[in-house]
Amino acid sequence: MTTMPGPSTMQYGLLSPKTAQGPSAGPTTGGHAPVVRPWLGFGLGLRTHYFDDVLATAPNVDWFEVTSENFMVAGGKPRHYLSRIRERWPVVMHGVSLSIGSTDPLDMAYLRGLRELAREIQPAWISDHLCWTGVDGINSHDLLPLPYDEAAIAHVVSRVQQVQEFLGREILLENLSSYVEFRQSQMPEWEFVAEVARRAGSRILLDVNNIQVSARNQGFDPHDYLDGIPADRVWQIHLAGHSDYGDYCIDTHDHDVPVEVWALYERAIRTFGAVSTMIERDDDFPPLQDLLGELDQARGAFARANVTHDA
Amino acid sequence: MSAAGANDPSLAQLQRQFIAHLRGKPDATLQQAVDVGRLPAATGLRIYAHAYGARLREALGNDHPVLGTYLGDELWETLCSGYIDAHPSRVRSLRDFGNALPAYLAEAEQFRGHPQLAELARFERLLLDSFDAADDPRADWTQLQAIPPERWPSLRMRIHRSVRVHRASRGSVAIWRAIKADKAPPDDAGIEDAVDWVLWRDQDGVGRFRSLEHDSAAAFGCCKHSGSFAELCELMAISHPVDDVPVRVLGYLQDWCGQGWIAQWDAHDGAFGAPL
Repeated sequence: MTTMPGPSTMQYGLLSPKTAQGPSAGPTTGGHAPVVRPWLGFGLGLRTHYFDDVLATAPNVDWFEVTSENFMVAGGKPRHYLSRIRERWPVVMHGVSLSIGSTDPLDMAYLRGLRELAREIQPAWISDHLCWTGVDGINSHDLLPLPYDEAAIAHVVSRVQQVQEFLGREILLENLSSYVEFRQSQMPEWEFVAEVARRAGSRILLDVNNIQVSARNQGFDPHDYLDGIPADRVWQIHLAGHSDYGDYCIDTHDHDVPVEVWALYERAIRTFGAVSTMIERDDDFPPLQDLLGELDQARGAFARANVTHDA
Repeated sequence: MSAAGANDPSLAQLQRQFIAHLRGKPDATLQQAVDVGRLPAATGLRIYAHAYGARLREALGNDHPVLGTYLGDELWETLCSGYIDAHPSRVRSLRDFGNALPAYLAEAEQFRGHPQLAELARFERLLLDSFDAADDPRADWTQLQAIPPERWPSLRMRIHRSVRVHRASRGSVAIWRAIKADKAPPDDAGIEDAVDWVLWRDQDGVGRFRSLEHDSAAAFGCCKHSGSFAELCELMAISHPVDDVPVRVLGYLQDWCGQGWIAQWDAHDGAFGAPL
Protein backbone atom coordinates (compact mmCIF):
# COMPACT_ATOMS: atom_id res chain seq x y z
CA MET A 1 0.00 0.00 0.00
CA THR A 2 1.06 3.53 -0.58
CA THR A 3 2.21 5.28 2.55
CA MET A 4 -0.46 7.57 3.90
CA PRO A 5 0.14 10.75 5.82
CA GLY A 6 0.70 9.86 9.45
CA PRO A 7 -1.81 10.44 12.21
CA SER A 8 0.14 13.41 13.49
CA THR A 9 -0.95 15.43 10.47
CA MET A 10 -4.55 14.34 10.52
CA GLN A 11 -7.67 14.40 12.55
CA TYR A 12 -9.23 10.99 11.96
CA GLY A 13 -7.40 10.76 8.67
CA LEU A 14 -8.54 14.02 7.17
CA LEU A 15 -5.89 15.47 4.94
CA SER A 16 -7.00 18.98 5.79
CA PRO A 17 -9.15 18.96 8.89
CA LYS A 18 -12.09 21.26 8.60
CA THR A 19 -14.94 21.73 10.95
CA ALA A 20 -18.60 22.28 10.37
CA GLN A 21 -20.45 25.35 11.49
CA GLY A 22 -24.13 24.71 11.17
CA PRO A 23 -27.02 25.49 13.43
CA SER A 24 -26.37 22.46 15.59
CA ALA A 25 -22.75 21.51 15.18
CA GLY A 26 -21.63 22.33 18.69
CA PRO A 27 -19.28 20.40 20.96
CA THR A 28 -20.29 16.88 21.87
CA THR A 29 -19.12 14.35 24.40
CA GLY A 30 -18.43 11.16 22.45
CA GLY A 31 -15.92 8.87 24.14
CA HIS A 32 -13.50 8.46 21.26
CA ALA A 33 -14.55 11.38 19.17
CA PRO A 34 -13.25 14.68 18.06
CA VAL A 35 -15.58 17.15 19.80
CA VAL A 36 -16.60 18.88 16.60
CA ARG A 37 -18.22 17.21 13.61
CA PRO A 38 -15.64 16.93 10.82
CA TRP A 39 -16.61 18.43 7.48
CA LEU A 40 -15.55 16.42 4.45
CA GLY A 41 -17.71 18.15 1.87
CA PHE A 42 -19.53 16.41 -0.97
CA GLY A 43 -18.62 12.84 -1.78
CA LEU A 44 -19.52 9.78 -3.81
CA GLY A 45 -19.85 6.10 -3.03
CA LEU A 46 -16.89 4.52 -4.81
CA ARG A 47 -18.00 1.65 -7.03
CA THR A 48 -15.84 -0.51 -9.29
CA HIS A 49 -17.83 0.80 -12.25
CA TYR A 50 -16.21 4.23 -11.76
CA PHE A 51 -12.63 3.28 -10.81
CA ASP A 52 -11.07 4.14 -14.16
CA ASP A 53 -13.16 7.27 -14.71
CA VAL A 54 -12.25 8.61 -11.30
CA LEU A 55 -8.53 8.11 -11.81
CA ALA A 56 -8.57 9.41 -15.37
CA THR A 57 -10.66 12.52 -14.80
CA ALA A 58 -9.98 13.48 -11.15
CA PRO A 59 -13.58 14.67 -10.73
CA ASN A 60 -14.68 17.48 -8.47
CA VAL A 61 -15.46 15.20 -5.54
CA ASP A 62 -14.26 16.02 -2.03
CA TRP A 63 -14.15 12.46 -0.70
CA PHE A 64 -15.19 8.88 -1.39
CA GLU A 65 -17.02 6.31 0.65
CA VAL A 66 -15.74 2.76 0.09
CA THR A 67 -17.59 -0.43 0.90
CA SER A 68 -15.30 -1.99 3.51
CA GLU A 69 -15.89 -5.60 2.52
CA ASN A 70 -14.91 -4.98 -1.10
CA PHE A 71 -11.39 -4.18 0.04
CA MET A 72 -10.99 -6.70 2.85
CA VAL A 73 -9.39 -9.02 0.32
CA ALA A 74 -5.85 -10.24 0.00
CA GLY A 75 -4.98 -8.35 -3.14
CA GLY A 76 -5.84 -7.81 -6.75
CA LYS A 77 -7.32 -4.88 -8.57
CA PRO A 78 -9.65 -3.49 -5.86
CA ARG A 79 -6.75 -2.83 -3.48
CA HIS A 80 -4.68 -1.38 -6.30
CA TYR A 81 -7.42 1.11 -7.19
CA LEU A 82 -8.14 1.98 -3.57
CA SER A 83 -4.49 2.73 -2.97
CA ARG A 84 -4.34 5.10 -5.91
CA ILE A 85 -7.60 6.84 -5.05
CA ARG A 86 -6.62 7.18 -1.39
CA GLU A 87 -3.47 9.03 -2.48
CA ARG A 88 -5.69 11.84 -3.74
CA TRP A 89 -8.88 11.86 -1.72
CA PRO A 90 -10.04 11.35 1.86
CA VAL A 91 -12.14 8.23 2.27
CA VAL A 92 -14.62 6.85 4.76
CA MET A 93 -15.32 3.14 5.24
CA HIS A 94 -18.90 1.86 5.04
CA GLY A 95 -19.63 -1.77 5.92
CA VAL A 96 -22.58 -4.13 5.55
CA SER A 97 -21.45 -7.07 7.69
CA LEU A 98 -21.24 -5.78 11.25
CA SER A 99 -24.71 -7.15 12.07
CA ILE A 100 -24.72 -5.06 15.19
CA GLY A 101 -28.26 -6.13 16.11
CA SER A 102 -27.78 -9.87 15.73
CA THR A 103 -28.01 -12.15 18.73
CA ASP A 104 -25.04 -14.11 17.37
CA PRO A 105 -21.66 -13.22 18.90
CA LEU A 106 -19.79 -10.38 17.26
CA ASP A 107 -17.63 -11.59 14.38
CA MET A 108 -14.18 -10.82 15.72
CA ALA A 109 -12.44 -11.99 12.55
CA TYR A 110 -14.47 -9.42 10.64
CA LEU A 111 -13.63 -6.73 13.16
CA ARG A 112 -9.94 -7.54 12.94
CA GLY A 113 -10.13 -7.23 9.16
CA LEU A 114 -11.96 -3.93 9.51
CA ARG A 115 -9.37 -2.59 11.93
CA GLU A 116 -6.55 -3.69 9.65
CA LEU A 117 -8.08 -1.99 6.61
CA ALA A 118 -8.65 1.17 8.67
CA ARG A 119 -5.03 1.12 9.78
CA GLU A 120 -3.95 1.00 6.15
CA ILE A 121 -6.24 3.56 4.58
CA GLN A 122 -6.86 5.88 7.54
CA PRO A 123 -10.53 6.62 6.87
CA ALA A 124 -12.13 9.72 8.29
CA TRP A 125 -14.62 7.37 9.94
CA ILE A 126 -16.15 3.90 9.83
CA SER A 127 -19.86 3.21 9.44
CA ASP A 128 -22.29 0.32 9.15
CA HIS A 129 -26.04 -0.13 9.58
CA LEU A 130 -28.38 -0.23 12.56
CA CYS A 131 -29.66 -3.67 11.68
CA TRP A 132 -28.96 -7.38 11.84
CA THR A 133 -28.03 -9.58 8.89
CA GLY A 134 -28.29 -13.13 10.21
CA VAL A 135 -28.55 -15.48 13.15
CA ASP A 136 -27.27 -18.95 14.06
CA GLY A 137 -24.47 -18.41 11.56
CA ILE A 138 -26.83 -18.01 8.60
CA ASN A 139 -26.26 -14.82 6.66
CA SER A 140 -29.25 -13.29 4.87
CA HIS A 141 -26.96 -10.78 3.13
CA ASP A 142 -29.70 -8.24 3.79
CA LEU A 143 -30.09 -5.38 6.24
CA LEU A 144 -32.94 -6.55 8.48
CA PRO A 145 -34.94 -4.42 10.91
CA LEU A 146 -35.01 -4.65 14.69
CA PRO A 147 -37.95 -4.17 17.01
CA TYR A 148 -37.75 -0.69 18.49
CA ASP A 149 -37.83 -1.63 22.17
CA GLU A 150 -35.70 -1.34 25.27
CA ALA A 151 -34.34 -4.87 24.98
CA ALA A 152 -33.06 -4.22 21.47
CA ILE A 153 -31.56 -0.87 22.50
CA ALA A 154 -29.70 -2.47 25.41
CA HIS A 155 -28.47 -5.27 23.19
CA VAL A 156 -27.26 -2.97 20.41
CA VAL A 157 -25.70 -0.39 22.73
CA SER A 158 -23.64 -3.05 24.49
CA ARG A 159 -22.34 -4.35 21.16
CA VAL A 160 -21.63 -0.89 19.73
CA GLN A 161 -19.55 -0.12 22.79
CA GLN A 162 -17.58 -3.35 22.32
CA VAL A 163 -16.98 -2.52 18.66
CA GLN A 164 -15.91 1.04 19.43
CA GLU A 165 -13.57 -0.19 22.12
CA PHE A 166 -12.06 -2.71 19.71
CA LEU A 167 -11.65 -0.22 16.87
CA GLY A 168 -10.55 2.57 19.18
CA ARG A 169 -12.95 5.00 17.58
CA GLU A 170 -16.60 5.89 17.32
CA ILE A 171 -18.65 4.30 14.60
CA LEU A 172 -21.56 5.68 12.61
CA LEU A 173 -24.74 3.64 12.21
CA GLU A 174 -27.09 4.17 9.29
CA ASN A 175 -30.89 4.06 9.39
CA LEU A 176 -32.53 1.45 7.16
CA SER A 177 -35.29 1.32 4.66
CA SER A 178 -37.82 -1.06 6.16
CA TYR A 179 -40.85 -2.98 4.97
CA VAL A 180 -42.14 -4.32 8.28
CA GLU A 181 -42.44 -3.04 11.81
CA PHE A 182 -42.75 -5.27 14.82
CA ARG A 183 -45.77 -5.23 17.09
CA GLN A 184 -43.54 -5.21 20.15
CA SER A 185 -41.91 -1.87 19.20
CA GLN A 186 -42.33 0.71 21.94
CA MET A 187 -41.19 3.81 20.11
CA PRO A 188 -40.90 5.21 16.58
CA GLU A 189 -37.77 4.39 14.61
CA TRP A 190 -36.22 7.82 15.05
CA GLU A 191 -36.34 7.51 18.84
CA PHE A 192 -34.67 4.13 18.57
CA VAL A 193 -31.93 5.53 16.29
CA ALA A 194 -31.40 8.50 18.60
CA GLU A 195 -31.33 6.43 21.80
CA VAL A 196 -28.76 4.00 20.46
CA ALA A 197 -26.50 6.89 19.42
CA ARG A 198 -26.89 8.72 22.73
CA ARG A 199 -26.32 5.71 24.96
CA ALA A 200 -23.56 4.07 22.91
CA GLY A 201 -21.73 7.30 22.11
CA SER A 202 -21.96 6.44 18.43
CA ARG A 203 -22.85 8.72 15.52
CA ILE A 204 -25.55 8.61 12.91
CA LEU A 205 -25.23 8.19 9.17
CA LEU A 206 -28.56 9.55 8.06
CA ASP A 207 -29.82 8.10 4.80
CA VAL A 208 -32.45 10.59 3.71
CA ASN A 209 -33.72 8.29 0.99
CA ASN A 210 -34.24 5.51 3.53
CA ILE A 211 -36.31 7.86 5.67
CA GLN A 212 -38.46 8.67 2.67
CA VAL A 213 -38.89 4.99 1.75
CA SER A 214 -39.77 3.92 5.29
CA ALA A 215 -42.10 6.90 5.71
CA ARG A 216 -44.03 5.78 2.61
CA ASN A 217 -44.10 2.15 3.73
CA GLN A 218 -44.88 2.73 7.40
CA GLY A 219 -47.03 5.81 7.01
CA PHE A 220 -45.13 8.28 9.20
CA ASP A 221 -44.23 11.90 8.46
CA PRO A 222 -40.55 12.09 7.46
CA HIS A 223 -40.30 15.53 9.06
CA ASP A 224 -41.17 13.96 12.42
CA TYR A 225 -38.23 11.63 11.84
CA LEU A 226 -35.82 14.52 11.24
CA ASP A 227 -37.17 16.38 14.27
CA GLY A 228 -36.44 13.36 16.45
CA ILE A 229 -32.78 13.00 15.50
CA PRO A 230 -30.17 14.73 17.70
CA ALA A 231 -28.19 17.04 15.42
CA ASP A 232 -24.87 16.62 17.20
CA ARG A 233 -24.94 12.88 16.45
CA VAL A 234 -25.35 13.21 12.68
CA TRP A 235 -22.01 13.03 10.89
CA GLN A 236 -22.88 11.92 7.40
CA ILE A 237 -25.79 11.95 4.97
CA HIS A 238 -26.57 9.52 2.17
CA LEU A 239 -28.65 10.61 -0.80
CA ALA A 240 -30.05 8.01 -3.18
CA GLY A 241 -33.04 7.00 -5.23
CA HIS A 242 -35.61 4.25 -4.89
CA SER A 243 -38.30 2.37 -6.80
CA ASP A 244 -41.87 3.53 -6.26
CA TYR A 245 -44.51 0.83 -6.77
CA GLY A 246 -47.45 3.01 -5.84
CA ASP A 247 -48.54 1.19 -2.71
CA TYR A 248 -45.00 0.99 -1.41
CA CYS A 249 -41.40 1.91 -2.17
CA ILE A 250 -38.33 -0.30 -2.33
CA ASP A 251 -34.89 0.97 -1.56
CA THR A 252 -33.07 0.00 -4.73
CA HIS A 253 -30.44 2.77 -4.82
CA ASP A 254 -30.57 2.48 -8.60
CA HIS A 255 -32.33 5.70 -9.53
CA ASP A 256 -31.50 9.40 -9.51
CA VAL A 257 -32.26 11.17 -6.26
CA PRO A 258 -35.98 12.05 -6.55
CA VAL A 259 -37.46 15.44 -5.86
CA GLU A 260 -39.03 14.45 -2.53
CA VAL A 261 -35.65 13.26 -1.25
CA TRP A 262 -34.04 16.53 -2.32
CA ALA A 263 -36.71 18.45 -0.42
CA LEU A 264 -36.19 16.32 2.66
CA TYR A 265 -32.43 16.77 2.37
CA GLU A 266 -32.73 20.53 2.30
CA ARG A 267 -34.88 20.35 5.39
CA ALA A 268 -32.30 18.07 7.03
CA ILE A 269 -29.35 20.39 6.53
CA ARG A 270 -31.39 23.36 7.73
CA THR A 271 -31.94 21.32 10.89
CA PHE A 272 -28.54 19.69 11.30
CA GLY A 273 -26.15 22.16 9.67
CA ALA A 274 -23.17 21.23 7.52
CA VAL A 275 -23.17 17.46 7.37
CA SER A 276 -20.83 15.72 4.92
CA THR A 277 -23.07 14.49 2.12
CA MET A 278 -22.71 11.89 -0.59
CA ILE A 279 -24.59 10.27 -3.44
CA GLU A 280 -24.94 6.53 -2.99
CA ARG A 281 -25.63 4.69 -6.23
CA ASP A 282 -25.56 0.87 -6.08
CA ASP A 283 -26.91 -0.26 -9.44
CA ASP A 284 -27.94 0.82 -12.93
CA PHE A 285 -24.91 3.08 -12.95
CA PRO A 286 -25.19 6.28 -15.00
CA PRO A 287 -22.16 8.12 -16.42
CA LEU A 288 -20.00 9.59 -13.65
CA GLN A 289 -20.92 13.03 -14.92
CA ASP A 290 -24.56 12.44 -13.92
CA LEU A 291 -23.56 11.72 -10.33
CA LEU A 292 -21.38 14.83 -10.31
CA GLY A 293 -24.47 16.74 -11.42
CA GLU A 294 -26.34 15.40 -8.41
CA LEU A 295 -23.48 16.49 -6.18
CA ASP A 296 -23.84 19.98 -7.63
CA GLN A 297 -27.52 19.83 -6.71
CA ALA A 298 -26.50 19.04 -3.14
CA ARG A 299 -24.14 22.01 -3.18
CA GLY A 300 -27.05 24.12 -4.42
CA ALA A 301 -29.22 22.92 -1.56
CA PHE A 302 -26.47 23.98 0.84
CA ALA A 303 -26.38 27.42 -0.70
CA ARG A 304 -30.16 27.79 -0.51
CA ALA A 305 -30.20 26.61 3.09
CA ASN A 306 -27.45 29.14 3.87
CA VAL A 307 -25.45 26.48 5.67
CA THR A 308 -21.80 27.35 6.17
CA HIS A 309 -18.65 25.49 7.00
CA ASP A 310 -14.96 26.31 7.25
CA ALA A 311 -13.51 26.21 3.75
CA MET B 1 -46.35 0.20 18.93
CA SER B 2 -47.10 -1.30 22.27
CA ALA B 3 -45.90 -1.63 25.82
CA ALA B 4 -43.51 -4.53 26.36
CA GLY B 5 -45.53 -7.73 26.58
CA ALA B 6 -44.79 -11.00 28.32
CA ASN B 7 -45.67 -12.85 25.13
CA ASP B 8 -43.32 -10.89 22.90
CA PRO B 9 -40.72 -13.12 21.30
CA SER B 10 -37.17 -12.57 22.45
CA LEU B 11 -34.86 -10.90 19.95
CA ALA B 12 -33.20 -14.25 19.21
CA GLN B 13 -36.57 -15.95 18.65
CA LEU B 14 -37.71 -13.14 16.37
CA GLN B 15 -34.52 -13.36 14.34
CA ARG B 16 -34.81 -17.14 13.97
CA GLN B 17 -38.41 -16.79 12.83
CA PHE B 18 -37.39 -14.14 10.35
CA ILE B 19 -34.60 -16.23 8.83
CA ALA B 20 -36.93 -19.24 8.61
CA HIS B 21 -39.38 -17.04 6.71
CA LEU B 22 -36.67 -15.89 4.31
CA ARG B 23 -35.77 -19.54 3.69
CA GLY B 24 -39.33 -20.38 2.71
CA LYS B 25 -40.23 -22.02 6.00
CA PRO B 26 -42.96 -19.66 7.18
CA ASP B 27 -43.63 -19.33 10.87
CA ALA B 28 -47.12 -18.21 11.82
CA THR B 29 -45.83 -16.48 14.92
CA LEU B 30 -43.77 -14.13 12.75
CA GLN B 31 -46.92 -12.93 10.99
CA GLN B 32 -48.35 -12.13 14.41
CA ALA B 33 -45.16 -10.35 15.47
CA VAL B 34 -45.33 -7.96 12.52
CA ASP B 35 -47.39 -4.85 13.05
CA VAL B 36 -50.27 -4.09 10.73
CA GLY B 37 -49.32 -0.71 9.39
CA ARG B 38 -49.78 1.08 6.12
CA LEU B 39 -48.04 -1.80 4.35
CA PRO B 40 -49.74 -5.16 5.00
CA ALA B 41 -47.53 -7.51 7.01
CA ALA B 42 -47.66 -10.20 4.33
CA THR B 43 -46.52 -7.73 1.67
CA GLY B 44 -43.61 -6.52 3.77
CA LEU B 45 -42.48 -10.03 4.61
CA ARG B 46 -42.79 -11.06 0.98
CA ILE B 47 -40.49 -8.19 -0.06
CA TYR B 48 -37.78 -9.50 2.26
CA ALA B 49 -38.20 -13.12 1.15
CA HIS B 50 -38.08 -12.16 -2.51
CA ALA B 51 -34.96 -10.06 -1.98
CA TYR B 52 -33.25 -12.94 -0.15
CA GLY B 53 -33.70 -15.40 -3.01
CA ALA B 54 -32.96 -12.83 -5.70
CA ARG B 55 -29.73 -11.77 -4.04
CA LEU B 56 -28.40 -15.31 -3.72
CA ARG B 57 -29.42 -16.19 -7.29
CA GLU B 58 -27.70 -13.07 -8.54
CA ALA B 59 -24.49 -14.03 -6.71
CA LEU B 60 -24.51 -17.49 -8.29
CA GLY B 61 -25.28 -16.00 -11.69
CA ASN B 62 -22.43 -13.50 -11.41
CA ASP B 63 -19.96 -16.24 -10.51
CA HIS B 64 -21.18 -18.86 -12.98
CA PRO B 65 -22.32 -17.15 -16.20
CA VAL B 66 -21.08 -19.99 -18.40
CA LEU B 67 -22.61 -22.75 -16.29
CA GLY B 68 -25.89 -20.82 -16.36
CA THR B 69 -25.84 -20.60 -20.14
CA TYR B 70 -24.88 -24.27 -20.47
CA LEU B 71 -27.77 -25.39 -18.28
CA GLY B 72 -30.42 -23.08 -19.71
CA ASP B 73 -32.95 -21.11 -17.69
CA GLU B 74 -35.04 -23.99 -16.38
CA LEU B 75 -32.22 -26.17 -15.10
CA TRP B 76 -30.37 -23.14 -13.79
CA GLU B 77 -33.41 -22.23 -11.71
CA THR B 78 -33.62 -25.82 -10.45
CA LEU B 79 -29.95 -25.67 -9.50
CA CYS B 80 -30.28 -22.31 -7.74
CA SER B 81 -33.38 -23.34 -5.78
CA GLY B 82 -31.85 -26.62 -4.69
CA TYR B 83 -28.52 -25.11 -3.75
CA ILE B 84 -30.00 -22.15 -1.87
CA ASP B 85 -32.22 -24.53 0.07
CA ALA B 86 -29.43 -27.01 0.85
CA HIS B 87 -26.69 -24.47 1.54
CA PRO B 88 -27.93 -21.38 3.38
CA SER B 89 -25.16 -18.81 3.33
CA ARG B 90 -22.75 -19.07 6.23
CA VAL B 91 -20.15 -16.82 4.63
CA ARG B 92 -19.60 -13.13 5.08
CA SER B 93 -19.21 -12.29 1.42
CA LEU B 94 -21.59 -13.29 -1.36
CA ARG B 95 -18.42 -13.90 -3.32
CA ASP B 96 -18.02 -17.13 -1.35
CA PHE B 97 -21.66 -18.23 -1.36
CA GLY B 98 -21.16 -20.58 -4.30
CA ASN B 99 -18.03 -22.27 -2.96
CA ALA B 100 -19.88 -25.55 -2.45
CA LEU B 101 -21.61 -25.47 -5.83
CA PRO B 102 -19.19 -27.93 -7.53
CA ALA B 103 -19.67 -30.42 -4.69
CA TYR B 104 -23.44 -29.93 -4.81
CA LEU B 105 -23.49 -30.60 -8.56
CA ALA B 106 -21.42 -33.75 -8.02
CA GLU B 107 -23.85 -35.10 -5.42
CA ALA B 108 -27.35 -33.81 -6.21
CA GLU B 109 -29.47 -36.51 -7.81
CA GLN B 110 -30.57 -34.37 -10.73
CA PHE B 111 -27.06 -33.34 -11.73
CA ARG B 112 -24.60 -36.04 -10.68
CA GLY B 113 -25.14 -38.01 -13.88
CA HIS B 114 -23.51 -35.14 -15.79
CA PRO B 115 -20.07 -34.78 -14.22
CA GLN B 116 -19.03 -32.07 -16.66
CA LEU B 117 -21.31 -29.72 -14.69
CA ALA B 118 -19.34 -30.03 -11.45
CA GLU B 119 -16.10 -29.70 -13.40
CA LEU B 120 -17.31 -26.60 -15.22
CA ALA B 121 -18.46 -25.05 -11.93
CA ARG B 122 -15.08 -25.82 -10.38
CA PHE B 123 -13.29 -24.18 -13.32
CA GLU B 124 -15.37 -21.01 -12.95
CA ARG B 125 -14.68 -20.88 -9.21
CA LEU B 126 -10.94 -21.33 -9.75
CA LEU B 127 -11.00 -18.45 -12.23
CA LEU B 128 -12.53 -16.29 -9.49
CA ASP B 129 -10.10 -17.53 -6.84
CA SER B 130 -7.13 -16.80 -9.05
CA PHE B 131 -8.39 -13.35 -9.92
CA ASP B 132 -8.99 -12.42 -6.27
CA ALA B 133 -5.81 -14.00 -4.89
CA ALA B 134 -3.36 -12.13 -2.71
CA ASP B 135 -0.77 -9.91 -4.35
CA ASP B 136 2.61 -11.49 -4.76
CA PRO B 137 5.97 -10.54 -6.27
CA ARG B 138 7.25 -12.15 -9.49
CA ALA B 139 10.66 -13.75 -9.66
CA ASP B 140 13.01 -12.71 -12.44
CA TRP B 141 14.99 -15.10 -14.63
CA THR B 142 18.21 -13.18 -14.10
CA GLN B 143 17.90 -13.81 -10.34
CA LEU B 144 18.10 -17.54 -11.00
CA GLN B 145 21.16 -17.08 -13.16
CA ALA B 146 22.86 -15.28 -10.27
CA ILE B 147 22.50 -18.28 -7.95
CA PRO B 148 25.76 -20.31 -7.76
CA PRO B 149 25.31 -23.69 -9.54
CA GLU B 150 26.35 -25.67 -6.46
CA ARG B 151 23.18 -24.43 -4.73
CA TRP B 152 20.84 -25.38 -7.54
CA PRO B 153 20.07 -28.93 -6.38
CA SER B 154 18.36 -27.60 -3.26
CA LEU B 155 16.67 -24.74 -5.11
CA ARG B 156 12.88 -24.53 -4.59
CA MET B 157 10.39 -22.39 -6.38
CA ARG B 158 7.63 -20.58 -4.53
CA ILE B 159 4.63 -20.42 -6.82
CA HIS B 160 2.73 -17.15 -7.30
CA ARG B 161 -0.32 -17.01 -5.06
CA SER B 162 -2.72 -16.43 -7.93
CA VAL B 163 -1.81 -19.75 -9.58
CA ARG B 164 -4.45 -22.50 -9.53
CA VAL B 165 -4.39 -25.85 -11.32
CA HIS B 166 -7.57 -27.23 -12.84
CA ARG B 167 -7.56 -30.88 -13.89
CA ALA B 168 -10.10 -31.32 -16.67
CA SER B 169 -11.27 -34.71 -17.86
CA ARG B 170 -14.88 -33.89 -18.78
CA GLY B 171 -14.38 -31.20 -21.36
CA SER B 172 -15.08 -28.31 -18.99
CA VAL B 173 -12.59 -25.92 -20.58
CA ALA B 174 -13.82 -26.70 -24.09
CA ILE B 175 -17.40 -26.06 -22.96
CA TRP B 176 -16.36 -22.82 -21.26
CA ARG B 177 -14.50 -21.57 -24.32
CA ALA B 178 -17.30 -22.43 -26.72
CA ILE B 179 -19.94 -20.65 -24.66
CA LYS B 180 -17.72 -17.61 -24.13
CA ALA B 181 -17.32 -17.45 -27.91
CA ASP B 182 -21.09 -17.74 -28.44
CA LYS B 183 -20.64 -21.13 -30.08
CA ALA B 184 -22.40 -24.41 -29.41
CA PRO B 185 -20.60 -26.39 -26.69
CA PRO B 186 -19.15 -29.78 -27.68
CA ASP B 187 -21.73 -32.58 -27.54
CA ASP B 188 -19.53 -35.26 -26.11
CA ALA B 189 -18.51 -34.46 -22.59
CA GLY B 190 -17.46 -37.99 -21.79
CA ILE B 191 -14.24 -38.93 -20.07
CA GLU B 192 -11.14 -37.75 -21.88
CA ASP B 193 -7.46 -37.74 -20.98
CA ALA B 194 -6.98 -35.50 -18.00
CA VAL B 195 -5.36 -32.17 -18.85
CA ASP B 196 -3.94 -29.79 -16.27
CA TRP B 197 -4.76 -26.15 -16.84
CA VAL B 198 -2.86 -23.44 -15.00
CA LEU B 199 -4.93 -20.37 -14.10
CA TRP B 200 -3.19 -17.18 -12.98
CA ARG B 201 -3.45 -13.41 -12.78
CA ASP B 202 -0.86 -11.69 -14.92
CA GLN B 203 1.21 -8.57 -14.28
CA ASP B 204 -1.63 -6.38 -15.58
CA GLY B 205 -4.18 -7.99 -13.27
CA VAL B 206 -5.77 -9.96 -16.12
CA GLY B 207 -6.95 -13.51 -15.40
CA ARG B 208 -5.39 -16.08 -17.76
CA PHE B 209 -5.22 -19.84 -18.22
CA ARG B 210 -3.33 -22.32 -20.40
CA SER B 211 -2.82 -26.05 -20.53
CA LEU B 212 0.35 -27.96 -19.70
CA GLU B 213 1.55 -30.95 -21.68
CA HIS B 214 1.95 -34.15 -19.68
CA ASP B 215 5.61 -33.89 -18.56
CA SER B 216 5.37 -30.20 -17.88
CA ALA B 217 2.26 -30.78 -15.76
CA ALA B 218 4.03 -33.44 -13.70
CA ALA B 219 7.03 -31.16 -13.21
CA PHE B 220 4.84 -28.22 -12.25
CA GLY B 221 2.95 -30.39 -9.77
CA CYS B 222 6.27 -31.37 -8.17
CA CYS B 223 7.38 -27.74 -8.07
CA LYS B 224 4.06 -26.58 -6.63
CA HIS B 225 4.41 -29.08 -3.81
CA SER B 226 7.80 -27.66 -2.83
CA GLY B 227 9.87 -30.10 -4.86
CA SER B 228 13.51 -29.04 -5.27
CA PHE B 229 15.42 -28.65 -8.53
CA ALA B 230 17.08 -32.03 -7.84
CA GLU B 231 13.71 -33.68 -7.26
CA LEU B 232 12.38 -32.16 -10.46
CA CYS B 233 15.35 -33.62 -12.32
CA GLU B 234 14.82 -37.05 -10.74
CA LEU B 235 11.19 -36.99 -11.80
CA MET B 236 12.05 -36.11 -15.38
CA ALA B 237 14.81 -38.75 -15.47
CA ILE B 238 12.12 -41.44 -15.19
CA SER B 239 10.98 -40.78 -18.74
CA HIS B 240 13.87 -38.93 -20.38
CA PRO B 241 17.59 -39.54 -20.94
CA VAL B 242 19.52 -38.27 -17.95
CA ASP B 243 21.72 -36.01 -20.04
CA ASP B 244 18.66 -34.21 -21.42
CA VAL B 245 17.05 -33.62 -18.06
CA PRO B 246 18.75 -30.41 -16.81
CA VAL B 247 18.07 -28.60 -20.08
CA ARG B 248 14.46 -29.81 -20.05
CA VAL B 249 13.90 -28.67 -16.46
CA LEU B 250 15.53 -25.31 -17.10
CA GLY B 251 13.26 -24.92 -20.11
CA TYR B 252 10.23 -25.48 -17.92
CA LEU B 253 11.45 -23.04 -15.29
CA GLN B 254 12.14 -20.39 -17.92
CA ASP B 255 8.65 -20.87 -19.35
CA TRP B 256 6.94 -20.65 -15.93
CA CYS B 257 9.04 -17.70 -14.86
CA GLY B 258 8.21 -15.89 -18.09
CA GLN B 259 4.51 -16.45 -17.46
CA GLY B 260 4.83 -14.98 -13.98
CA TRP B 261 3.99 -18.20 -12.15
CA ILE B 262 7.08 -18.11 -9.91
CA ALA B 263 7.12 -15.64 -7.04
CA GLN B 264 10.51 -16.44 -5.58
CA TRP B 265 13.61 -18.63 -5.97
CA ASP B 266 14.51 -20.16 -2.62
CA ALA B 267 18.06 -21.54 -2.56
CA HIS B 268 18.00 -23.20 0.83
CA ASP B 269 20.10 -20.64 2.68
CA GLY B 270 18.63 -17.58 1.11
CA ALA B 271 15.70 -16.38 -0.97
CA PHE B 272 16.23 -14.86 -4.39
CA GLY B 273 13.61 -12.71 -5.95
CA ALA B 274 11.47 -9.77 -5.12
CA PRO B 275 11.10 -9.43 -1.35
CA LEU B 276 7.87 -10.65 0.19
